[in-house]
Amino acid sequence: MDILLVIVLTSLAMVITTLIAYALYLYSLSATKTITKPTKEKTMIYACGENIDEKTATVSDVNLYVTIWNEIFKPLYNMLRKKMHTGILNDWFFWMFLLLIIAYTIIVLLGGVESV
Amino acid sequence: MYEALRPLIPIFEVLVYPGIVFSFIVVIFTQWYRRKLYARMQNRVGPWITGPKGLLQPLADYVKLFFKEDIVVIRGHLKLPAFLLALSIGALIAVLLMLPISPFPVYASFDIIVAIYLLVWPTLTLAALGFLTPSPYGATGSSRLLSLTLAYEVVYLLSVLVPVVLASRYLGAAYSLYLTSVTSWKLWTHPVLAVLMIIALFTAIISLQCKLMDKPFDIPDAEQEIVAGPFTEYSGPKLAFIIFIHDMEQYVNALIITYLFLGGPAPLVNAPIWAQAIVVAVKYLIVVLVLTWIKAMVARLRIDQAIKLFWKYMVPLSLFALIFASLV
Repeated sequence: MDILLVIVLTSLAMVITTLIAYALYLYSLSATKTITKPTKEKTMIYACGENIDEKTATVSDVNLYVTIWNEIFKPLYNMLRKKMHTGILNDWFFWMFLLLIIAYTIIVLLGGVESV
Repeated sequence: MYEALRPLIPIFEVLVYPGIVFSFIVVIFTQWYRRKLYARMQNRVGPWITGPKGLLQPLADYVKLFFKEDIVVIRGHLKLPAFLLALSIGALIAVLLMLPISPFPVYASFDIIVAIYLLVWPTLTLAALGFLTPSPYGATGSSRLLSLTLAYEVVYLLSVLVPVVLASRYLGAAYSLYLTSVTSWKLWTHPVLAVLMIIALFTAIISLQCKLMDKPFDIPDAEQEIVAGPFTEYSGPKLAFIIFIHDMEQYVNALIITYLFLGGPAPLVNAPIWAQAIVVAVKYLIVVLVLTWIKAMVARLRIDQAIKLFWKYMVPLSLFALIFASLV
């Protein structure tokens, strides 16, 4: 079987299932329409039992992603800063040379660059 | 007669077996089995009222949620989350068609890429749900889930690739999920390859536990800290879909582990189909038992501890297995 046919068949399976699941959801909405009683209290945002304004109900993106990764890589960052940031030019050249070798190795492992 | 019905076979596969109807039955049974096991490990009875031995309790829970009010919070979306959830259910059903459980499996060379792509859909959907409501708990839960994704998805991918690479190099599986599934049992007959399979199986189970957001990795929906994380503001049919996707992910991934790592119907590969089905079912139940056992045994980790665990130990371990699988 061709890989394109696999993609087409799995996509079709996905579309059929999606339509059925979504139709079930729409049926649920219509079936519960008569018994639901939407009130303002139900649609408010609560935190710690208190109603909060939806415009302020956010978390700063700094606290969402950066903090997690900063915490995890802090020991590595501190270690590298101590070793790289000595003020001695030779140390700086050594680290740059090391990075160059790593980059070169990765390029060779990936198959190199075609010459023009 | 048979030729006339042939175009209907894929439709039958999607709708009945191994598609929607069969998956729903397996999901109901697996959820009951897991709840019962979890309860026994905590010295409780578990579900026991609805149906024989409480077997229909998960079905009752789904029906109850499905006919409850779908509350949409202010500035929230009504239909978009439901559509995304429906797409994820579709992605998981599509993966089932690529496994030997399907009577007419869909496969080709390098189709493992398609399978991995489809398996990532539910994770991204669950993460998107948190951002579709203005709740701080939702945003925090989603950010935790996305951060974890960068750790465990790498490990899961590397682990799944180990049997695929080995089977492709030695058994002509051509990087196909189906062909690897039907030949992977032969990898256990070689001592060096068996060691690599054990390492990959271990890392795959740990990363699957994180993929399912079960203890010790229930960090995105840690109820004592952020209520239910990305799912805090969802109720009724959407919550039923969320729980269904969790159960479907558990079913599909446990089945993939059963076939890729545990050899599917081996040692009864030449036995009648019913005997093979029993072997696969027993292995599947053992995988679910192990997942439940880990969940009952450990406490929750912090997000930084979990990511450190993956990047410090699991990534090097699975990478080592994959590199060796490519070299030996």
